[in-house]
Amino acid sequence: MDPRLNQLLQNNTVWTGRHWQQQVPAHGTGYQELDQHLPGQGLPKGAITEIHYHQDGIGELRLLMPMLAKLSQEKRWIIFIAPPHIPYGPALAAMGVDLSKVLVVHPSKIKDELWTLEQALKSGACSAVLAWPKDVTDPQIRRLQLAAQKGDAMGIFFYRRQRAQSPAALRLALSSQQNVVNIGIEKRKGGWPLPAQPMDLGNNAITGQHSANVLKGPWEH
Amino acid sequence: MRWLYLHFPDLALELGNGGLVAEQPQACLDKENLISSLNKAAADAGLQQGMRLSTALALCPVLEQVSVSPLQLHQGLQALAQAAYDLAGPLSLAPPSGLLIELSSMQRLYGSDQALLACLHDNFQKLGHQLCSGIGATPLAARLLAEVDMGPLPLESGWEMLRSLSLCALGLPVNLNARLQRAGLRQIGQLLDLPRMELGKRYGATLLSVLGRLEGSLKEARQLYHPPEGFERQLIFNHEVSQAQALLFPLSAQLQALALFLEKRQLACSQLQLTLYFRAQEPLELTLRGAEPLWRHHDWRDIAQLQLEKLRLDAPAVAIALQAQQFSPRAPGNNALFEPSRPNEPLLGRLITRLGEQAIQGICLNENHCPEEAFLWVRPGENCAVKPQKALRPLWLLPSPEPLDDAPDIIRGPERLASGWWQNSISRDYFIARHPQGGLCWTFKDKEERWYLHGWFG
Repeated sequence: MDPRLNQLLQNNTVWTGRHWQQQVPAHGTGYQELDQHLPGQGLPKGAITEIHYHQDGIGELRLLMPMLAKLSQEKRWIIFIAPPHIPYGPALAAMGVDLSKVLVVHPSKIKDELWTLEQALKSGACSAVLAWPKDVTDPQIRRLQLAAQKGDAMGIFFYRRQRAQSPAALRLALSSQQNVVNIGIEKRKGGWPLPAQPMDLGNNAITGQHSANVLKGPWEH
Repeated sequence: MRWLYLHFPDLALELGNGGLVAEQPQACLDKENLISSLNKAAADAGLQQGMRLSTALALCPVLEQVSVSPLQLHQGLQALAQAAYDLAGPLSLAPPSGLLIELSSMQRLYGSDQALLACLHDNFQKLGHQLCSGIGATPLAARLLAEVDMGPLPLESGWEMLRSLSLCALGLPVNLNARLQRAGLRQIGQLLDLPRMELGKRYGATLLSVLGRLEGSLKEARQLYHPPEGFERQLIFNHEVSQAQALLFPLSAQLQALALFLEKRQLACSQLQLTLYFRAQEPLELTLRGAEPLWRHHDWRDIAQLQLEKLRLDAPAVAIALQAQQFSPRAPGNNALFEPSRPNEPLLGRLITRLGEQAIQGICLNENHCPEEAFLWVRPGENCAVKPQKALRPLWLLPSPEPLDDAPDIIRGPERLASGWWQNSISRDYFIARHPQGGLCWTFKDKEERWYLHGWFG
């Protein structure tokens, strides 16, 4: 190889595509097939993750449950800001989430919602902030991203509608076809987007179907 | 015994303008409308202490008069005593604007008078107060020396200095003073040299008692200062404040005083009462509440700021008062040394203040089979020891069941839930079903065979 090229590589000025998973601090989701495609083997810490889904009940919360169960062992809050339905205590507890760390906040105005979001992210008192923002602009997301960084909180935003692009660190898209949940990675730091792949979020455990190729879901371990 | 007298010559002015250095000439008047204290700008304009108001206004038409109520003056002196109490123990108030400290018992602690004095000067300068001090063998001697502001002198030369002071410094009644002047007595020393018996016969007991106090043959009554138990501060504005946001600035200073108060006693408080006073209306009372006991200045400031942002004033405020309530001993520092996370309470306090208490809820389990009753909304962080059920439940529950048009595409079930025959009884068959749009949902059929959607396996 050209010695000049070698020099560039040694100075770390050229991205080689092999080391993309390394430096990002992250929390594992508990789903190994997903984790291995994510930078840092999980959802990024101190940053915003966006989850797109088109329909309630396809696994948008189950995707996070193993991680939230782990985060609820911390001293900090897990906070739901203006959720579309009631986060159901018995189910959360059954999946190992410590309910005494869960807060549900219902701001009455959109302005209050954004304010709450920022306060929760930057306070350092929340490990995960789950929100369903409706009208949020890119500059606002950038600002929230900084807040998350400051408070070392994971911001997880759910969208029902497709956003064209956004400054969030990670974007996942959930869709379902018949009995299968597909997860695509639309944006990840230091890597190409990944097309949707089928994943088991414990659907079989809920539906009671036991096929031969049951993957390790959150209830089995 | 040796006494240290601290004299605050500009106390009224300093209290009146709330710690701000004013550019324009300002002065305070005493009861007889004579100027009792004035700022630098006023002095530059040629005004002097003891001048009549009319003279002063003739010299300086833009002179601003700062009025301070006796109560405010008293509170200000209390605050000064509080600040001095941190440094010296045997302390008493000498109204209207002085503090008296017994020095000999402080000797061992500080080594020298100068060390104590340096600390005191430093402390009060930080608080924005000018002070003069004097050391004397009696409280009165110390006070007279402080008022002429020669700096602290050793006892011997202090006494010399005292003897050379004019008689007026004693503050005797005006006609007694005039009679002494007529008799040719000009200086305190001349008076002290005269035989007491004769002086008493001619000028009465008032003079004798003053001389006795000066020399130490008469003891002065004084009351030791003890710091107050509760916290209450009032601030009267010079200018009316019509914007609620603008109240934050004076309030911040009071919160700083509160933080100091709590710090000294190792206390925290969970509620503050803020009272706004108006010229013609009833006072407005606001309660600032922290989710948990707070003691840091900036935590309370954040909560106050949120409260003031929401507030719209109908009329300009003329004064505010801050009162702290619900004290509790500060939780012992059981945080690990390197633990980065701060306690939760500032966030909760902020959220509750802006959104209201009902908007922030925690969840806990309830032992009840009815799905709507299987959990309770509780105060954040509350824990109840109910074991989670083994049954399969959805992560989302709809606030109230939604009627469905058709029977859903059932995957699993039924699970019969019947409970509460003593009140709103339910009897439902629950199914896990596939929603036409693709999600897994929790549906039930009631006794009348009607279908409802009740949750999502999110």
